[in-house]
Amino acid sequence: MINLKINNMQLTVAPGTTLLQAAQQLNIEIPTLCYMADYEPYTSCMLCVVQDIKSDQLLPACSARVVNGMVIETENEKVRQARKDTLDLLLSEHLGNCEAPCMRACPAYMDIPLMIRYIKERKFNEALITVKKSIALPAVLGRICPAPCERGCNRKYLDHTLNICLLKRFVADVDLYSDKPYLPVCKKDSGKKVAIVGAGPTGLAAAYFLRQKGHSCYIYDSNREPGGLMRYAIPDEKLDKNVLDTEIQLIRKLSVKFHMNMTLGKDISLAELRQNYNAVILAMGTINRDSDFVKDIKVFSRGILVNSRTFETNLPGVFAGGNAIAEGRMAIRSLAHGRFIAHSVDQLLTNLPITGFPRRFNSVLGRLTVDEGEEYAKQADKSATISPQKGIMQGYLASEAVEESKRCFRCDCRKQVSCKLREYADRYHASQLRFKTGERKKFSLVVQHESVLYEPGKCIKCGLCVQITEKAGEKFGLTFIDRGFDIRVAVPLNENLQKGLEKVARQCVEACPTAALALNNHFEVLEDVAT
Amino acid sequence: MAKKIGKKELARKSLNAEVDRIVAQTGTGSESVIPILHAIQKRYNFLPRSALQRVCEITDITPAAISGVSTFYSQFRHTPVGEHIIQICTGTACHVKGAELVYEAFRRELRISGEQDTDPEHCFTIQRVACLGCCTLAPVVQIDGITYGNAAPRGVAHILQDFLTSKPAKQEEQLLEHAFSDNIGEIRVGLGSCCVASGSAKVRQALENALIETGIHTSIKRVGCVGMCHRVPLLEVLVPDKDPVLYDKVQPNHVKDILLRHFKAKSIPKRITNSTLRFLENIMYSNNLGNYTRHPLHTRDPQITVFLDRQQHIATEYAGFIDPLDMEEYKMRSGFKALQQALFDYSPQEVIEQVNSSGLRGRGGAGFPAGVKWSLARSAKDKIKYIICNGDEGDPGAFMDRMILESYPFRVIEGMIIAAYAIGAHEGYFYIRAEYSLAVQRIRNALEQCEQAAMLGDNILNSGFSLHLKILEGAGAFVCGEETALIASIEGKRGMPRYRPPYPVEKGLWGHTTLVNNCETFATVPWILRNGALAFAKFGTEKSKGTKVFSLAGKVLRGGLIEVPMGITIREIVEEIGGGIEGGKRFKAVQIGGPSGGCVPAELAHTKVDFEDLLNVSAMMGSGGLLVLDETDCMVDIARYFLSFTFSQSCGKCTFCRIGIRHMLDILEKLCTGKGDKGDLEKLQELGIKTKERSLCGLGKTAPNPVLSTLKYFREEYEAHVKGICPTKKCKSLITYTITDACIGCTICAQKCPTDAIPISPYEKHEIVQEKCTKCDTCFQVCPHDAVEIH
Repeated sequence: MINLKINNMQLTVAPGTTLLQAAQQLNIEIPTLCYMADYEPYTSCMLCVVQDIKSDQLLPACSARVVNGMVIETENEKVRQARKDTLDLLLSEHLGNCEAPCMRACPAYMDIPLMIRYIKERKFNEALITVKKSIALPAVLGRICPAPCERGCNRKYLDHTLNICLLKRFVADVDLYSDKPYLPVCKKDSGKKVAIVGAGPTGLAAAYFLRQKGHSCYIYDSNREPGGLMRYAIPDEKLDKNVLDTEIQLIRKLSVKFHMNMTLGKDISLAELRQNYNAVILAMGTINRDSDFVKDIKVFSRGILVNSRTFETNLPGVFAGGNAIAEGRMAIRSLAHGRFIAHSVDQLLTNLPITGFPRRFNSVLGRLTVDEGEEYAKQADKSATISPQKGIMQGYLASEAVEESKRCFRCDCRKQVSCKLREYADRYHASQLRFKTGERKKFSLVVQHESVLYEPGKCIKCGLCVQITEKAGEKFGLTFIDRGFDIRVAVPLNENLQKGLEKVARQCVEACPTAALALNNHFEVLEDVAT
Repeated sequence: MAKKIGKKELARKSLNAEVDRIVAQTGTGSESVIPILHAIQKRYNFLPRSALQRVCEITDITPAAISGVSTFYSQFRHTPVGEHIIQICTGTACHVKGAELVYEAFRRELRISGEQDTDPEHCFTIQRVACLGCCTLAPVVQIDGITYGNAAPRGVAHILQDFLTSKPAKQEEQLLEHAFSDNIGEIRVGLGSCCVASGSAKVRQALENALIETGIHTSIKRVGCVGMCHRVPLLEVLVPDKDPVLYDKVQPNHVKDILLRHFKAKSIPKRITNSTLRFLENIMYSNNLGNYTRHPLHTRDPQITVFLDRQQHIATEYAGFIDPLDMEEYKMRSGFKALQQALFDYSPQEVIEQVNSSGLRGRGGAGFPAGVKWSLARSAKDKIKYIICNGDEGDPGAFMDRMILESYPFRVIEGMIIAAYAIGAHEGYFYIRAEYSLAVQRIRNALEQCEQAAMLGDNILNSGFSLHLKILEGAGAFVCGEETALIASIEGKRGMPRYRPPYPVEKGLWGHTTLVNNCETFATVPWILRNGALAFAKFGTEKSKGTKVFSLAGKVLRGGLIEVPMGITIREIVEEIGGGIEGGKRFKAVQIGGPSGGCVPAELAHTKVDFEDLLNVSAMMGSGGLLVLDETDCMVDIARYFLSFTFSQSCGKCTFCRIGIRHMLDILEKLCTGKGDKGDLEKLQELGIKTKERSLCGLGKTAPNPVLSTLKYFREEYEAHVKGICPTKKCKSLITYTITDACIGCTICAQKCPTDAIPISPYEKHEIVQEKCTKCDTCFQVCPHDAVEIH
């Protein structure tokens, strides 16, 4: 038997045991990409390295065997750096977007691809719920948003971007004018009270999301009616105020209390609010620098100074967002602030560390060539952009929305939650740009299989699918083609993927540590911590 | 239409029949895939998809295996090619002597443009190949197996013409038949690859014709590499009672005159021409004492004396005067004596003790003690054991293994049998690079002779010990020099290394104990047994015993194959054996160890040839390529050259080797094209260190060495490149050619310019049209008035 130490724990294992297996006996997790139990360790990814303290060498835990007297550390600084290096290299040639560029471009971080997929399936209600997870007033925004998301849309490299904003407006309108518009479920009362100064987009959004967390919300606003600049700065012909009223009404229905005609610093002081509420959100729009509350709070040239991740001000329990922290023209930005502040406030009120809204690692593909656009178009409708028959002001008909949704490239990743590469990229703070030295490879899609989509650019060459098809006795299976930097996985003899994966398609998809092999109609939704 | 289908059907049937015939010869096991692919390609010049499908139908080879293997090895082609294949050697020596310019010149001459590799007439397909191992004749070009040395961009038309007009028959070896009972003396013709490339086959042909014409009865003897590759073709005349005479750089038209100088013609002698008389003034005399001395040449030519004096021939014993395939001669020169000793006087353990106490370390590069490896293999409990001779020499700029296999096939086999006896192996393989066709031919021939003479096979020499050896040809993959990749390749797989341990001595070929040694290691073993371990250990340093064979090439006056005692300094090799730098240029550095090694600057030329000492100066013994660089060589370009080699040879398995090297190469390419940024050098160094540390096999672990060592010793050159300056004016993107006022308007440059970038203007100063200039250097070379300047 072999005696060794892993992370200062002594253990005895049989000769021939790998370091990975030995660590498992101690319940120590070592990250792996190319390793899978019951298959030959392939030792290619080098993520599983651990440090052999005596020789100061990094050993791949999946393959290195235990040696008597070994002292192993599995997660020290050197190991973490080595893993980050590995991930940075793998990501430097990773061709794909974890999250779609439209979603990344959306200030409110709305899961646009998911909304589009629901529309395509005519599941308009699910689409609306998806929208409302991020945007409190979608019908309003559907009319006034300058749609930064559309500038991110990859379809522009082929013909014309999707009309995302119109699609959103469509699902919002369908819901708003239905018999029973959607109301989110609110958690039971937490007993915590939040004062929100300002009934504009930031304040309304913050109230909308905080109510769902079970906190009571009290909005103070100096105007007669809620809505802020949406009501007072946007002409009626652009935004029918009935739409605004109806959507605010839905927020009211979540038991949000409105105190109108109340001006901070005049009718009520910040000190009072801080005293009477568990948290205060300053969302009153551009601040009046003469107001006395400005004496207590740190401001700078653009507005109230906040932590850009958490929206905390220098005063404990006081948060600020929207035009109060910097002037901006987009309602969606203010609305997004409301959402993120709600997240921070909820963390405060539930005694969690305030970390701000979670953002995961994102692989970014970047600009596409027309050829690459054609690759994505393999799984989209070729039709030109759909214009609403009844005019922009009236929005899409259901059939038009469905048609437009079919133009989506689906450039978000099918495994954005389960992808191991992304998981470890998060864990080790990987950077995709660190080793950006030359041109990236050409993006391509293999759409040949009834259920499997193959994205060669996401393959990390772990060879698991090659081993699985070989073991299963697939007639063609998968194999490595070429070598070196050009090595790739493909079906032998230039056969198509359908012939390559006749028996074990699903197994290969499940084993694939990234979304190189994925089920074409599969999608994953990040459990939204904010709602 | 019906007729067409009929034709197609017919073609398919004939292809199937052809594949069936090939498979019947090679076998149907999954390990036969590489030999089958070689045979199909030999028949069709490429691998037709339908042929591959047929192979899968009638053998155990799966589609995944055949596609994986056929795309892994660079020798295999999947698209049809032209009638003839031009291979431009891109080995190191060829690179520093302008192979890339030759490559471009061929493309221009053949009007091959863009991504194409074949001329419009489908007559020639051009490709770059890894080292052909004729480094002293650099740049080297091979067309359908005919080798042309010293190629220059302006000479490509001539080469093509020579090829098309002479269309020489494929070089096939036969034992020479000139056995007359009254044969007097003998004439030795060097027929190593370098010699052949320089035209020694033509010399031999001329010699045979001259013998018939003159009626002289003497024997022509083929000998292996003399080592003096810088003077090939070589021809040595031996007449009884007279001093042997060695002629160098012999041309076919000299042959008859040389003959007549030494032998009396039976038919009417022709007059010796004046030109030949002049030529004869320059001959080299050798006056060794006869055929059977230990020291082949004791010459009066001081150059030859220094070239040979510092050398010590052990693996290359009898260099230059032993017929590679004459078993009787090998036996007369103590051949197979060591084998007899081993089989009948020593126990396997005693053989290992001898090797152990000789201090012999593996000559493949890493220098692992051979005796230790052997005893590990011996003590392994496996009932089936294999022995493998690693002849997959792939380093650009190294040709020791080729020369040893070509010149001393029996010695390598003898060493292998001894090793097999010592460890208890009964089966084994020669794994030889496919590019080394002559080596393969000779080993094959030697194996047949050994079998016939009961030196191989069952019950060798009635000792009760049996050993069967086979040859497996590689197919173009440098990484297969790594032992686990080599083993995968023999098993018929892609040559992908795996993690060690387990080492092959524990779990090797087909999962059994396997001993892999380099052919030079095996070739050294018979000498050690015959002369004793101590005699061997007398040479060398404390930790590196014996001798090492190097291929000395590059900017040195006398390149060639040398065997020197360990501990000799780099300066002694370059200046004494090599005769210093050619053309009076300044000695800058020695690249030692090829793509795994590093550049040792001239200031450190006192470094000893010793495994550890070389590592201490960031170089590596490697397999023994020794490339001398002068002041005109750009170190960034050299680093880029080696890295682009390892980049092209990486198997693509582990992350750091596959992607890390790509990024390093990207940075080097930026530097060589003037696009370098601040911070690039730091990033390059960081990637280099990490790739070394974290790659899976020897290829990745050593690939950054050429970069790291040049960064260490020539950092100022890198820094200049970051600023967009190439101090040696080698990096094309960073230089321009101009004509100075010294131009007298002779028009030679304009006539020779391959891209018409210089308009003809007689008696006036010429101008170079920069947009058209490809920086091929032709004008610079041809200008008789040194009026071309490079900035």
